[in-house]
Amino acid sequence: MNKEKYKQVMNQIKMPEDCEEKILKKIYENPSEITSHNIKWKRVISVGIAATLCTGIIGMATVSAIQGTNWISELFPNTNEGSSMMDYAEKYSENVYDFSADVDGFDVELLGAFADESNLYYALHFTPKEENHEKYNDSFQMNCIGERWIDDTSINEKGIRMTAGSSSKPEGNGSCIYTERINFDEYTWESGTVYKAEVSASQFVEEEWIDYGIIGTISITIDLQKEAPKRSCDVSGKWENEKNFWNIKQIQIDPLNLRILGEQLNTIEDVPNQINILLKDGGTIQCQKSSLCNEDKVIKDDKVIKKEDLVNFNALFTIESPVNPYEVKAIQLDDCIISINP
Amino acid sequence: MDISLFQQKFHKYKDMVYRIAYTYLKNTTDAEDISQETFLKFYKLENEFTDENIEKAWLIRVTINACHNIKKSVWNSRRVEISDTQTKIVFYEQEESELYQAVFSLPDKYRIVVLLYYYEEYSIQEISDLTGRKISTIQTQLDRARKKLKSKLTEKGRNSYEQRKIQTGYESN
Repeated sequence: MNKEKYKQVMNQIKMPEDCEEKILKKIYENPSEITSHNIKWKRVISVGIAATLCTGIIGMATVSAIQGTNWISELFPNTNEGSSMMDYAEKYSENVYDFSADVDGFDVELLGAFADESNLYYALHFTPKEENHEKYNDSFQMNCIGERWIDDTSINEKGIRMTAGSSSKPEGNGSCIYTERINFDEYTWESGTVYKAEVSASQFVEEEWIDYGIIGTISITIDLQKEAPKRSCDVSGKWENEKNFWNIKQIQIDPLNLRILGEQLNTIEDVPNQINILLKDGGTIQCQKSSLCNEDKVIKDDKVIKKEDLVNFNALFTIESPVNPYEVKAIQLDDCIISINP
Repeated sequence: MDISLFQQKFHKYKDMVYRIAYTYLKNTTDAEDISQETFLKFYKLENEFTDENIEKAWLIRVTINACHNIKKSVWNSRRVEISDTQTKIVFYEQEESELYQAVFSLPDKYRIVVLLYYYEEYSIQEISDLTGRKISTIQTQLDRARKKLKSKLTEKGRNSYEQRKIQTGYESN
């Protein structure tokens, strides 16, 4: 290999300016606030796992809903005791009334769960039935992000766009706490909805993942007795940066999600760096991008943005901790503030 | 660390840290997160480094460890990002573009070794210290990476030669 050519090629990889600005800004403002938790909570679309369901189903556990609230701090690393998330979880914790799991070789306990119409949050504890220190060490992990079903229909078949965050914390003996939050972009839970997901196991050995495939399923039945408050407002505002702009026409807020609708340039790649919810009492809550889609057909001519082409967009953001939508005064997209009329 | 000193160091090392993270993870979002995490740790260091080589090696080690942790998370093993995660780099020479594609088609453990050896010009012993892998492992990974690159680049070269031949053929008709 030509070393100089290689260096020339790799020289093209440089820290983007906005990343540089973000890091310096955070350092200048308040370095103690910077955490790496966001790494754990990537927004994703569900991924199908190409593996077949194991036939030997041994474990079976049924636990009804909440058994204490310690799991919330596992599920939301930034949430302190007494915060609004705890209140919210308590309020909606009765919305999950049944849980079952069939997982080969593992006992599964539901540590806690809560759901409103568009969100489901749950934490599971997996414990191996047999000791096997060689296999079950802290590199052994479980997850539930394979095939998923709603009322026995695959979410892929239902054409539902789902975003989720999850994390798995191995405990060294093969047991682990698995936490996940899911919110639907184009679907609303109904009372009695059954959410089912495949459970799979894998292990990180010598920098490679060993996939043990699907080892079972979990099933969560949702009962919605309380309706989460929602607010939808027509607004007028414009956010822009060097490459893109948003003409914002409507804002929809529920306690955990912010949806922004409007028109943007014919690109989906440039979004505001920071989105905040500004509350009437002066408080600020951060949002993170969950999904963004252009509703019109996207016409992309390589990297050329056609300025004459405006498309309707629909962007969903996850609010860091629950808000009362009626206590929201405005939303802030970078330096642009869009007021919401009372 | 003094903020003006940090600024100076940040500008010196920012591309190196980002390049290592991106090379390892092939993902802009993660590379940005890793860069932030690494520089925050660096900023929070109580004692300054007296030796620049040790300072650079510290930054590389922290970056690689952070990448390794991400790679190790079960979440990473199965996720698909919504957003575009590939850096958009435009190469004006086909040779550069082919080399970039060939390098990024290597397994991640090879990519990082190649970067440290050819770009940062560390010795095999030093790479072993930086990555915590055995010297023999680094040697093997480097050999395999070279072979894979050679085969990929030869194949690409042959394909583009064939392509040129076809195009020339059409032109002459």
